Amino acid sequence: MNGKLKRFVASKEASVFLILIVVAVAATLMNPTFLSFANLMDVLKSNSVLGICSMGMLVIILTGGIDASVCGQLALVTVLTGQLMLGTGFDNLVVLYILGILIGGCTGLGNGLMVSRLGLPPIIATLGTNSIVMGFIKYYTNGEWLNNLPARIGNFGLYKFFAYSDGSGSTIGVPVQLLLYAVMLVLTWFMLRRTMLGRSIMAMGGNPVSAQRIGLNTKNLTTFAYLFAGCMYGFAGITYTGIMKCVDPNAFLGFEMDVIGAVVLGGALMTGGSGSVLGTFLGVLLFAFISNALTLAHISTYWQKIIVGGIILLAVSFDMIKLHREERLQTKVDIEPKEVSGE
Amino acid sequence: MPGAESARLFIRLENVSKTFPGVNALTNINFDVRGGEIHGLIGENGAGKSTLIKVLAGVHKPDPGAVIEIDGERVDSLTPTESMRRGIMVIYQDFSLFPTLTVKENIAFSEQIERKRRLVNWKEVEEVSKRALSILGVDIDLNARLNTLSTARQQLVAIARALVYDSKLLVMDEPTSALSSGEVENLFRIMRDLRSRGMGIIFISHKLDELFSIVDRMTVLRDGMYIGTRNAGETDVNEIITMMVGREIKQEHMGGTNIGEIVLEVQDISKRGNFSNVTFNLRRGEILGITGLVGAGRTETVRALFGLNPPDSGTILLEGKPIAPKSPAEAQALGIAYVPESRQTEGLVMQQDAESNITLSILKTFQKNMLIQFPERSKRSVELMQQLNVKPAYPFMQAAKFSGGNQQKIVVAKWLATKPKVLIVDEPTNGVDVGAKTEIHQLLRQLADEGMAVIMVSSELPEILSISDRVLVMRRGRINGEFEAKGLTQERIMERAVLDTRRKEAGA
Repeated sequence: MNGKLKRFVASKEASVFLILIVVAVAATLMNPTFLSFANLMDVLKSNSVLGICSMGMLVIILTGGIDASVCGQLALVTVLTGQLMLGTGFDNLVVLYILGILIGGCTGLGNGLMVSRLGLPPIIATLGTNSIVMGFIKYYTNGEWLNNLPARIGNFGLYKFFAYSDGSGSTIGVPVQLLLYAVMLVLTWFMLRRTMLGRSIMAMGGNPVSAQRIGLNTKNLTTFAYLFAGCMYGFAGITYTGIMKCVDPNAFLGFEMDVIGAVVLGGALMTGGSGSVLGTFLGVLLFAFISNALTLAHISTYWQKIIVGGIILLAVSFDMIKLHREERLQTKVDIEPKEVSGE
Repeated sequence: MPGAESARLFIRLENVSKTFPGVNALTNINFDVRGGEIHGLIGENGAGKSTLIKVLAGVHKPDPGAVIEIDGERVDSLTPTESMRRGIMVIYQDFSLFPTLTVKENIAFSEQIERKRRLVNWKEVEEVSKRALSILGVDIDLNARLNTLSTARQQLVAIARALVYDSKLLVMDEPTSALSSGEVENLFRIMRDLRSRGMGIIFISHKLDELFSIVDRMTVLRDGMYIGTRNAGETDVNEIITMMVGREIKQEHMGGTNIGEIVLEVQDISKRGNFSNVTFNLRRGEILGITGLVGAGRTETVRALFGLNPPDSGTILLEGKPIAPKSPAEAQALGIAYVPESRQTEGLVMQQDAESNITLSILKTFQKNMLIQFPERSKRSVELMQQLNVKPAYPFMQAAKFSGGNQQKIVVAKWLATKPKVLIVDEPTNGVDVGAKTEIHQLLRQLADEGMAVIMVSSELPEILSISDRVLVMRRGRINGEFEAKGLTQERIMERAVLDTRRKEAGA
């Protein structure tokens, strides 16, 4: 138990946690509303989509890859399902979620196959996918919003557990999105921690050559990571429509940076093999807290981007400096000890 | 019972050859290992040890006609999984572990795959890894991340992983190369223990004194050929060295004709983890050969002279003046040139043409009013290509399209263009065909005779013997011998490269 505690203190998650506390304390001092239950629930609700997407991105980053097509994949899911709802009045939530997962799964699978089978660099493959999908979306929607979606999807987005009225007219409770996020967290944790599939992804990310030597199918593992991420985006897309009650084809422009940022803030290494669900969760919280604190302090949201960008660069620089130091101190030649004196 | 067990043959190879396009990596190898023996595998760099190991591991398929027998049973096609299933476990020099996973997972991971688990059974992982480490008698935190451990402990984890597999033959590729002497003792204790449990071990090492202290038999390879197997008790270092280098081929020695004053003096330079107390001097018109085994610190030392690997202490004098280059640009300005070991990655810009490559380091000299004078540049590069006899002498041909030998000449041309006082070449004929090799040798000799001071790092002893004037032999970061090249033999060099001669002299 003691050893476990020690390891946690030394871990990256612990340092993210520490920064999180600092931000929370500072935010509360600036505006006590920050720490209120209603505010915290609001923060979690509005960042649940980021959180769900970050689970997919985490798995991709663990393989040593990256996904620049988050925006396109989310837009495709929301627009296609939105069009279905608008055109036919279809409003079965379970089927919508399944459809979303299937659409995201298809684009994710495409990314995965390009990276693993054709050997395209992940950034190129996913940028290409993003460009194609976004072009198609613009052609298809003309950039117009899809409004007047069935009431059921919006009502679902408003649903809260343990809801009670606080007297002033607003309802306080645990938003349904938090539950959805929690389920995805546990699912991803289980996959990475308890299944051989997840452990194989971790192993391959740390050392692909060794992974091949012990007989892992690294191509299939890589493909799976992008497929998994696509499904997560699909799930996130439907959740987002529920929150917004409408579909904006351009809602996700630049969103991939937020997702990558949250994962990196959570301590994952871009080189692969290193990163955790807990860390990424803390990274999302940190991201959410910073933006919420700035909003509560009436600071422009532009600053939020600047500060988050700065923290990401700092975090990655810190890793790189550490790596360079280790490399420099590495022994290349095992030098023979000095001659024994006295001949 | 263990005695009877240990005498049994575990694996037998007969007539194993392996041909790669243009290279005979292995020719008719016969080799066997018994259960309960430590079998040393020895040979110079490029003798075929790694290829042989890869055949055992199932990574390379031998040419038709080879016989592989494991436990008395003939195996027709040995794949990596088949090899592991039959109990052969290779511990490569890089260990093949997973740096970001924990110790226990590294030990038990492949076993979980073997059992076709879908979910990880953490309890089983813990038990299996604990048991493996207790067999080794070492205490390592099971939950520590692998990359937080020292090299020696990572190696123990790799051995523990092999034990989980119930391996019958452990192949260890240079296991002591990154260990301190105390750690080597511990490793040998474990190896002896495994031997007494009936496991066979193939131990590859360059260090003959270490080999003699632990192996039961040893097999020598040379140029991909089987030279012989000896019982450790019935042979000695001299016989093994002779087997390693082969019969002396009478070689034309091209000595210098125009050796002048001292140009470069290196005095007691050291760098932690690279080289230690290195002292030598270099004269005008001289070729100084630096040899030794891979990992002896030769490249690290010459890179120090070129500013790529600045020493922690010591002095370097160039024409009597102290210098301390901190970057290649400084070294170049001082008149030092370095032709690196791998021309593909360090020597050439492969996608660019010969002319751009040759004039890369002197581009500034063609500059007039901030513009490059291309006709001048072409003229100079064609001159250099003709001088070095680059074939074809097309300045606009992409560097990647020249043959290995001509690529090497282009790199040399690039550095000649800077008109250096000291030219350092690292493995200058690596991967170059025989004809081009002779040409490069003649070229280096000619450059020296014209007054340049040349340092040539090379693992090829015939090359060292044929064109050097003096030879330095490095071993484990130190200079372990300095000789006049004339009359020197491969045996004497090899002796200094593989044995700690100082200790021997001290003991005598």
